[in-house]
Amino acid sequence: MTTEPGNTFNPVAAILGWLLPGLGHIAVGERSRGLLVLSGVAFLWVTGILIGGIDSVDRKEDRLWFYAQAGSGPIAFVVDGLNTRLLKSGRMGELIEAPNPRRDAGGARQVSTWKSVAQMNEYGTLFTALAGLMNIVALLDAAGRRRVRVGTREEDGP
Amino acid sequence: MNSLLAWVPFLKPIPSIDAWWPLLLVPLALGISMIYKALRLPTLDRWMISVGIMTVQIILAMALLAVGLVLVVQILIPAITPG
Repeated sequence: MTTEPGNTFNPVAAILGWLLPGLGHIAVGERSRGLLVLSGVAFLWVTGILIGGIDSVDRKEDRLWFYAQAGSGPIAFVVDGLNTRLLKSGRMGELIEAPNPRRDAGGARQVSTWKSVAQMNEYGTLFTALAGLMNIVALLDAAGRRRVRVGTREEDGP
Repeated sequence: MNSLLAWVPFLKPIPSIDAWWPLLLVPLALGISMIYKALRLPTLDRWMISVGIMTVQIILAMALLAVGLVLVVQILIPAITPG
């Protein structure tokens, strides 16, 4: 039995693919494909966080980027939570005063000395956001695949 | 060197990336190719080779795009701009 792209939509595969990249493909019987998708998404996440640190994922300061990063599933929320709990709270590194980029907010704000800036932050954000966008493509692909018996080309299940 | 010793991987951003940041295009292209080829190939026998080829294609395309932009900005625009 194998799978091929079809016109069906399997929401369970899509949800599984969001919860863990590649799991949607594994659920429809494409184990190798699922593991390769997982390795690709994991590679982009590990490299992105290695370059930009956990500050590359910031739900409040980089909201639009976070929407893309959230395509990778719970990992985006976990890293954002770690950023808030470790860096923004001052538990790791020190908090220093910095000008507030939002003029309407006024005054200074506290930022971590471990905050990533410039190219490191841009690349870290880009790697993780692309991982999320590619995973959305992957979960849609998994949801659209239908099981086919080799030889008969007969659909397996509804 | 000192900044590298103080680096805490995954928590702090990587230090001293200044001059060689364009090289980060290589892992970026590699990661995208890994996922794209896992989805598009009918069989996965030639996955690694296909990923390598696509990575090189992306890098070459970006390099050509950069050369094209340099030509436009450095040569074409000064040539057609009066004065």
